[in-house]
Amino acid sequence: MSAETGKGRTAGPASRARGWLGRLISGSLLSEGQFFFFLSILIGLFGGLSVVCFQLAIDSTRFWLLTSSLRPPAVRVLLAPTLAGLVVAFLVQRFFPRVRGSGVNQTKAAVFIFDGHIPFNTVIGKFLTCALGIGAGHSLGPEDPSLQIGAGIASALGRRMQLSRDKLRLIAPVGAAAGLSAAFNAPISAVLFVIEEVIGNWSAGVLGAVVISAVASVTVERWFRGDAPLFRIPASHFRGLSDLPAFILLGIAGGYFSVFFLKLVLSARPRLKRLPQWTQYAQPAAAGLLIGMIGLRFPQVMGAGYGYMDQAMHDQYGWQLLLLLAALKLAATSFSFVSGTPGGLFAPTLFMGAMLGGAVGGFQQHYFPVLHAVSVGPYALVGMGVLFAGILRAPMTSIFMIVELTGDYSVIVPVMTANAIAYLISRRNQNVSLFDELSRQDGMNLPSMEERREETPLRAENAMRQFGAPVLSAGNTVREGREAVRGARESTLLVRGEFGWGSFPAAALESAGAKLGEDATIGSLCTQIGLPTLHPDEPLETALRLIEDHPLLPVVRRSNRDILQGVLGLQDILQAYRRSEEESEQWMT
Amino acid sequence: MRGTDRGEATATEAQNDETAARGPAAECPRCGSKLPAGAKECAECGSRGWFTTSRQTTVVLSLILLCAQFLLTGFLNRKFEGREREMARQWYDRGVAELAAGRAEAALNPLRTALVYSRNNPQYELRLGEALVAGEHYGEAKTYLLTLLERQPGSSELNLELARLAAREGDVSEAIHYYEASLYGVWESNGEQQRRAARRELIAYLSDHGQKAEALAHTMSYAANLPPDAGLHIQAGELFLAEQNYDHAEEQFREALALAPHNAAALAGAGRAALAKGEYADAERFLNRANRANPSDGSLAEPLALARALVSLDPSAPGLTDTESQRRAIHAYQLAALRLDTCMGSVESGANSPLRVLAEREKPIDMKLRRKRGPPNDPPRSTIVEFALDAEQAVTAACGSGSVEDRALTILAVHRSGGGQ
Repeated sequence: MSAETGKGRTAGPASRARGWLGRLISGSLLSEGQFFFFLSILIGLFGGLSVVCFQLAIDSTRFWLLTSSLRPPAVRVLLAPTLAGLVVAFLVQRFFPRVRGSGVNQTKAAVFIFDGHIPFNTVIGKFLTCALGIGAGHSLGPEDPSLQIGAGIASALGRRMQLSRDKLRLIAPVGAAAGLSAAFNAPISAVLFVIEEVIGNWSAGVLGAVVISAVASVTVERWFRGDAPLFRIPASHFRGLSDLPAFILLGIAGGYFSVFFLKLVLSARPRLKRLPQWTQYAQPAAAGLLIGMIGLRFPQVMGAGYGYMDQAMHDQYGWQLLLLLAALKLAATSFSFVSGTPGGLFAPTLFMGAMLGGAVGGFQQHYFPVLHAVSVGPYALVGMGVLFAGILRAPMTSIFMIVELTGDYSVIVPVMTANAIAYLISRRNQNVSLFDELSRQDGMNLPSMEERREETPLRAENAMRQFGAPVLSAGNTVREGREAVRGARESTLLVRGEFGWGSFPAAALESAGAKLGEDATIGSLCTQIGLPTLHPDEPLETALRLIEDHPLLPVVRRSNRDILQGVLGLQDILQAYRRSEEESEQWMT
Repeated sequence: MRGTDRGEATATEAQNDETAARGPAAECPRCGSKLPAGAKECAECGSRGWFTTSRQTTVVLSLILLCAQFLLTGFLNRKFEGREREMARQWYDRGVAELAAGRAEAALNPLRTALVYSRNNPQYELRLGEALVAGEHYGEAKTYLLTLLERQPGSSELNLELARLAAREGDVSEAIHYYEASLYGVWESNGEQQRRAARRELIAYLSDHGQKAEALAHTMSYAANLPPDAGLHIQAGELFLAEQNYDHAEEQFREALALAPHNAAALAGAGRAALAKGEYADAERFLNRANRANPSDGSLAEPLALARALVSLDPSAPGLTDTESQRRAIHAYQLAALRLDTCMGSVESGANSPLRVLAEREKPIDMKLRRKRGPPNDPPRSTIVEFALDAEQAVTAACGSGSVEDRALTILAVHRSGGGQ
């Protein structure tokens, strides 16, 4: 031991540096929290690289199966998605059963059910099946699978690094943000989506890690694929209130379109799942054939379709064709998704939104030129956000995504207006969100982020009641006290003194004269002093934590702790919770 | 951070920590919980005794794997991008070929495909913009070009395409705005040459839309910045000729001739400018030289014949003897009188018509000229010439232009009254 120590002392800076580096990477130099951030960067880099490879795989598959032409030969258009559907179905049924669907719910399940565990073969399966399916023309997108790929990589790394269970649970969303950020080339939207739809809260610890991994990931993605945005944004801008009515109409149209899509997917999916097992092998192929048939005349509906969204934004199609493309994409995406072909809904949603927005804009331009002051482009752009809000029901993401993609803040007013309308229409006509309903159909009871967002936490003011007796001063005599509270119905009396707030049973006041004398002070009667106080805006959970064995808690004004605004007892708190539950049930019905 | 102190600790101390972590009274190196004696796994965080080594190995392996994946992704990406570039080039070439063949509609799909594989390639984008304009997809072309212009606001090519688009749509002020923006913007290549071509296009557009003053201003500007190139000076001269600014036109042609003395186009231009200015001898000289330099140029025959006729007919030409002037005056009179008679026979003319008045004016002149003997200079030469030119002018108005000599006399008539050609 001493020899080793001596060796260490004489080894010099190089040896010390090695030792320091060793401890750095072993984690003993970093706290668990710091190591988690280091791991977030690593996850971001891995996620970014994997998504780049994933995109290359999709594009290469497309070249290979459908050629480089925007109008591939008819035989390929029919055969590629059909045969790819067969292969994908075989892979899913035999080797990768967890890769069905978009990937968002699987990531949520990893967070809320499986302690952050996503098997690595899911990552491989998602990569292969999605690359093949999307590349062959199935009407699905690469974003949600990228999210799951990122989450899967994060989960694998977290497990290998032997993170604690808590941290492991948080690592999947970190990877999800990395995957989505690289796929979308939009880190803010990715972070927002993960917070809004996967984690469901703004915990500062995980937010930092999510942001770091998203930034690392998008940096890698841009390193390889360039920093050009997904779309060339049209030059015309929102010009003011005069344009707003047209965007309101778009919000309404988008809202009902979203509802139709949701109803169609959510009703068809369980029916197809109930069909005999052997049909599961054929469903993606059948969907592929149907998509191929549409693609013969309208190749725009095949694959993710970003190029065509770009064209729609630049007035390339008439409004009739745009409307038709929106409808055909709806059909094609429904076929692909309900058949169990792995792939995401982000890109198809944006596609339908762009087409629908363009159609609404073009229609107004043609028939109501007074309403329409700008070109079709901004409508297509806002339409994307509208359907994102209506179908995926992530309202904040839907707004920031458009702003981030365009880099144009002038569009924020129409986007917010139209998205809010579409979201409300969708919410009103389809109670349960797409992701929540899909998870229920898959037998998982995941927390609904939408419901969480809408929960209004109960506060002390919702449960407190007026105190039915005057507050006594600790310096008052027993006689004075008895006079003051005569006729009051409270069983516990509150006292204000140098010790803060105190309390004693009301019955003690009656017997105190005989025991202690009429001139004894009220302060000497207190059984509890230094009572914890609450403010009206504090959550009711805080009251529950503080109440312990105190019969009453004083609720005081923030500006003056001596002024009593009400009191809270355990019964009051329980009654408030009960009332809230009843109101919630009434609202649902 | 606890690492502040520990960072200076020796490797041996770290090893001691590790050993301690395995020992009976050790704490979990991760969460700090006390490990039960002999425990191999932390009850709080699940880490195991060999955790440190394992995490260390995993981190190292991850970093190695990261580097490997980076290299692999880079290799695949580069290969894929090369393939994309190649495909983009092929589709672009196909589109350009269609465009060059005048099949704008057929050029659209290849050009769009090229842009799918080479997004934001300004050359491809511009060509697609051109194809959209040529294919009369005006709405789409405008949105497309405006989008591109927003990204490259100083692009002269884009401004020029927008100018052409506005011109096709009949929006004169917007067309002029974009034309001018293209002049003061940045060209991708051959800037000066392209700028001159754009200015010529603008001048033609302004002239077509009756904005003569603006056209002349741009032509002056165009001419003022020309390099020593005969061809360019000839183009400038032609522009001035079209704007009937003969002095500047002749100046440009002369500059061209100084650079290329035997240039047929410059000689022809100078001849036409001189002809228009009334410098008939110079005009004939230039046109003769032009004809010798390029005998196959059929367009020279008429101005040359006209110049010759003017030189031979003009009775007021400087340096003529009295006899020659008189001979020319009488020849002009004879031509005019004959033409007047012919014209009056072919059109109906009232008593007070200009032709009838001229016929009345002719009678005393004719009578005096027929006299064998009479006073000299009666009628005066000026009267004869005046009548001849008036008659030619009136007859041309009533019966159209006649022979070369008649046209020459008409020109003389116009120049006499201060007009140009």
